[in-house]
Amino acid sequence: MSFKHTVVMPKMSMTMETGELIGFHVAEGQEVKAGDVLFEVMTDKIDMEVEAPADGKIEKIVAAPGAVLEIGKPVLIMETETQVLSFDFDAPESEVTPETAEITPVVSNPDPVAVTPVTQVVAPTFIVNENPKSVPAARKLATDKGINLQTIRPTGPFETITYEDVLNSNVDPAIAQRRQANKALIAKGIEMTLAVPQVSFTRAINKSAGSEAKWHAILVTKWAKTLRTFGQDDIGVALIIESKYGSALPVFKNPDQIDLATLTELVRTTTEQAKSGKVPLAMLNGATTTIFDLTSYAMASNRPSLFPNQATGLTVGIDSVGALSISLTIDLRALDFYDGAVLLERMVNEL
Amino acid sequence: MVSKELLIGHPLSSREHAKHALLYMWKIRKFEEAVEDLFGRGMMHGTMHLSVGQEASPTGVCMTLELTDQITSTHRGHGHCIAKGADLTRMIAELLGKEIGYCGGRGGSMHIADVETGNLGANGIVAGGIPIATGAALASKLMKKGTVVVSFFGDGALNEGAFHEAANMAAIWKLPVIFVCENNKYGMSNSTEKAFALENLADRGLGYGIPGVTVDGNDVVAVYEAAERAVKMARDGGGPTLLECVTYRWKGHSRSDKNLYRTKEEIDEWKSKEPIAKFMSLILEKNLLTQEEMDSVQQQATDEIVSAVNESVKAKSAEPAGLEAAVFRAVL
Amino acid sequence: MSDRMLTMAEAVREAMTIAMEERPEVFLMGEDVGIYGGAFGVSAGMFEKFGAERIIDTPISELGYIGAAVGAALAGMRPIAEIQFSDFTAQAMDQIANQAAKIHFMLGGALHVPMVIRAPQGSGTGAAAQHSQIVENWFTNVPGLKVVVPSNPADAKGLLLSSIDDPNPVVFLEHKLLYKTPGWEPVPEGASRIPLGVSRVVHTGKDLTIVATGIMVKKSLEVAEILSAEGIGVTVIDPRTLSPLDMTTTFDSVESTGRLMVVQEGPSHGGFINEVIAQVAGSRAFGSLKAPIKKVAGLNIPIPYAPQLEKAAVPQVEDIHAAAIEIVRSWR
Repeated sequence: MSFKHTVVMPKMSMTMETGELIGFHVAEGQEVKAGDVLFEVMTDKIDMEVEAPADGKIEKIVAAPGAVLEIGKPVLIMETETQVLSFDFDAPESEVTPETAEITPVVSNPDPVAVTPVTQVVAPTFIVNENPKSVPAARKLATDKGINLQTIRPTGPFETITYEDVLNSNVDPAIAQRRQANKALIAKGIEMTLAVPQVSFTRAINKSAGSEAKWHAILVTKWAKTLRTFGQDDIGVALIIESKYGSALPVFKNPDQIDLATLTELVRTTTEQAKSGKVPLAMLNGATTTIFDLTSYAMASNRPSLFPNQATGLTVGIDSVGALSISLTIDLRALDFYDGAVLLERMVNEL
Repeated sequence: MVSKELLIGHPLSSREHAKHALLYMWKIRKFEEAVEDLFGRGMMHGTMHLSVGQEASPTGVCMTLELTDQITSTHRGHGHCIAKGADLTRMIAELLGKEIGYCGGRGGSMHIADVETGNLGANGIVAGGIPIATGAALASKLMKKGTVVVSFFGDGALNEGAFHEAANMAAIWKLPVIFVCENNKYGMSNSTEKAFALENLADRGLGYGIPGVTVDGNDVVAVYEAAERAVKMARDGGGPTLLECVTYRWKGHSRSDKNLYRTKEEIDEWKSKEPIAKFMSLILEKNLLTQEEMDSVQQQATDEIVSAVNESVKAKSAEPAGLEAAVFRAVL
Repeated sequence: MSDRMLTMAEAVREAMTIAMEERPEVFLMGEDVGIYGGAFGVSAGMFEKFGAERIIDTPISELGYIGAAVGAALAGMRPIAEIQFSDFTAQAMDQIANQAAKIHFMLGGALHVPMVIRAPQGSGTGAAAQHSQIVENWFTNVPGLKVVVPSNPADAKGLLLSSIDDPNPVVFLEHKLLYKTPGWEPVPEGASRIPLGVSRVVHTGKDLTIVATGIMVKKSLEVAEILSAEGIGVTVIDPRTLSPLDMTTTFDSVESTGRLMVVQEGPSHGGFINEVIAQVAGSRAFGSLKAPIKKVAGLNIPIPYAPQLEKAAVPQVEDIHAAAIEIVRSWR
C-alpha cells in the first residue's frame, strides 16, 4: 500500500508568515529516504532545509524555485510507504487512488502439476529463538549436554536463558531428531497435496461444554456422521495431536458407531499416548479425513490442509474476536463446490 | 660514583676556588649547548628547558653547601644538578633514554635526582619541589642532622599556592631551608612586570616574616655571598631566607618557544651582562688566573661534556620489561 | 574497653601509638591533631604522650604539609599526614598524585616515599557535599599509590600498622561514621599486622557473592544475615586494600556461587567497584555466571544535606537486600 503526502511550506519560526523557495534537492520520480533534504527555504530569520518525512518517491513538484509561498501551501507531492500524519483541511482533489487489494479466489492452480520429488528437508529442530541470550553458566551446561540453545524457551529476564532453563530442559537430541523426521514426513505429504485442486469454506460455530477430549470426540463423531450422509462407509477420522516429538495423527475408525462416552475415553487416552510419542499401531493408518483443532493456538480456522489420499480436511479455530469457526477443505476432483457447502452446513447443524 | 670534587668557599678566595667556580659554570654552559645540539638532531625525546645564561646562581649557591646538604630543583634544573656534583654521563644518558641514565630512562630531563650528592630531584610541576624541600628541612630539624636544604625555583613559582604554604610553615617552624628564586624575568611568556605588583620579588619575604634578599644573579660572587649568609642563618636555627637571584635566560622557555614575547634587543642586552664573562673579567682583575688558564678550564669543561656524550650515546637503551614492577618499592 | 570492642578511632589511635613507639622516625602531622586531639578525636592524648615534635599541628595548608610529608619521607622519616576530611585531599593533589606517587618510578628507584595519608571519608553526618565524599577512586587510578579502606576497627589497626611499614605512599581512608562505633569483632591486642593486598571473606554462603567496600561491608553483612533466614546463602568479601587489589578470593567465590553483586557507597559512575566487575568479566569466573553482575552504588550526585536526601543518595540495607533478592530469584 502506498500513501500520498503533500509537503507544504512549513512554519519555522514564531514570526514566519511566508517563505521563499531557494531550490530543490530532488526531482520528480526520485526515490527518497526519510530525512533526505527535499528543498531549502529562506525565511526572515534563517535558511532552513526541509526533509522528507518518510521513505518514498517524489510524485510531483507543484511550486517553482524562487516562489514565495505562504506557510501551509503545497510545495511537492510524494508517495510514501508509511502514512505520514498531517492535517490538511483544504487539500486539493486526490489524483491517485489508493491501491485496493485484489480478491483472489482461493483456488489453486487447476492444472494438475507433477509432484516435485521431495528433496532434502534441511529443517533444523524446533527453534525458539535464532539468537538466544543465555547466561554464561547456561551456555557451558548446554555445550556439555549437547543441547542447542536455540531450542530452549527462556524464562529469565530480557528473554535470557537461565542456568535452570538448560538444567530442566528435556530437549534431548534424540527427541529433536525424531521431531525433525516427523516434520519432514508431514511436509512431504502436504507438498503432494498442494497440487490437488481444492477449495475451502468457513462457518461460525459454538462449542459445547466439557473437556477437551469430549469436544474432540464430538468433532470426530459428528464429522464421521456427516460424511456418512454423503455415502462414505469406511470412515477413518485422523485427529492431529502435537507433542514435542512432532505431529501425531491417530485414526479413529468409524467413530460415529461408538458411543460418545467410550469415544471420549478413547480420545483422551490416545491423546495422552500421542503426547508422549506413542500412537497405537491399530490407529496408525486408514485415515480418510483429518481434523485439526487450532483453538489452543488461538488461531483462526483458515484453510485446512489436505493429507494424501484424503478428500476432506477440517480445522476448528478461534478468530480475533473470540468467535469459534470451522473450516473445510475439499478435493475438487472428488467433490464439487456444492458438495462442500452442503457438507459443512450439515456439520455445523450437527454441532 | 660521585664526580664532584667538593669545594666550599668564596669563589675569589683562592685560585682553586676561582677555577672551580669557572669550571662549573662552563660545564653547565657546555652541557646545555650539547643538549641543544643533540636535541636539534632529533636524538632527544620530548622537550628541553635550557638554562644558558643562568649559570652563576646554581654555581654560587652550591659552593656554600656540604655534600650532605640537599637541594630540590625545577624543570630547568640541569644547572642545579651539575653544580651539586651530578655525573655528566648519567645525566646525558637519562636525556637519551638509556638504562644507565639517572632514572633508567623513566624520568627524563625534568626528574633527575642524585641521592649521593643530596639532590632530591628536579620537578616538572612549578613549585612542586618547594614543599618537599621544606619537608626535608623539617626532617633535618626533627632528626637533628644539622643539614640545610636549598629549594631552587623560578619567578613563576612564587605565585603558586605551594610556595606560600611551604614558606609560611618554614617560617613558623624556623626550618633550615633556603628559598632561592632564580628570577629570569619570565614565566613561560608572561613577564614578571605583568605577573607581579612588586619590583623586587624578594619583598615577599616580608609577608612571611623572613628575610628577602635580591642579588645580581649573574654575579657568582654576589650570589655566593648572599647564599652563604642565608645558609649560616638556616644552619644556626634562624629559619629560612628568600634569596632572589636576578638573571636572564637566553633561550626560549623550552624548545618549542618562539620568543614572541620578548625582543632581540632585550636578549642581546642581557647577553652582554652574561655571568661567565663577568666572572672571567673579575678573575683577571684580581689576578687569580691567567687567560690561558681560564681557556684551559673552558677546554676541560668542553672535554668532559664531549666524553660524557660519547659514552652515553654508546650505552644500552632502556627496556620496557619490568616497568610495572618498578612502580612500588618492594616490601621487605 | 575491656572487651576489646574498640571503635575505629580507638583502633587507629592504637596503631599510630604502637608505630610511634616502635620507630622514632614515625610522626603525625595535620590540622588540629595535636592539642585538640584531632577533629574526630582520633589522636586524643597523643600530643601529651609524644610531644610537639612528633605530633605536629600544621597551619591550614594541605598542599604545603602533604608536600612537607613527602620531603620528610625522602629525607628518611615516616610521616603520617592526616587530612581532616577526605574532600580536602583535592587541595593537596599535586603532592599526592604528581609527587609522592611518582617519585619512586620517575627517579628510577633512587628515592622512595614511605608515608601514610589518613583521612575520614563518607556521608551520613549531615556535613553535606564538600565534607562527605568517597574519594578512594581518585587514587586507585594513580599508579604509585596504595589505597586502603578498612571496614572495621580490627582490620583498621592491622592495616594501618602495615601501611606505616610500607615503603610506599599509602592513602588510608577511614569512614567517619565508624569512628565512634565498635565493629563486629574485638580488636586484637599487640602489634600484629594485616598485610596489604589481601582480601577477606567475612561471611559464607552458596547462592550469591557480594564484594563490598568500606561501610558497605557492614551493611552487606546485615543483608547476609537476613537472607540466611530466608534460605539464601551469601558470601561477603571485603577487599580491604583497593590498590593493589586481590581478586583471587572473588574469582573462586564467583565460580562457586555463579552470582556477583558489588556494593560501594561512592557515586556509581566511574567508581572503584567497577574494577571488580571488569576483572570478573574478563576472568576464569565469567563462564560460571548464572546472572548478570549487579552493582549497588551511590547516586551520581553530590551528597545532599537534608537527612532523608542524604540517606537516599547512598545504598542502604534495604537497597542491598532488594538487589540481592532480585538477582537470586530472577536468575536461576
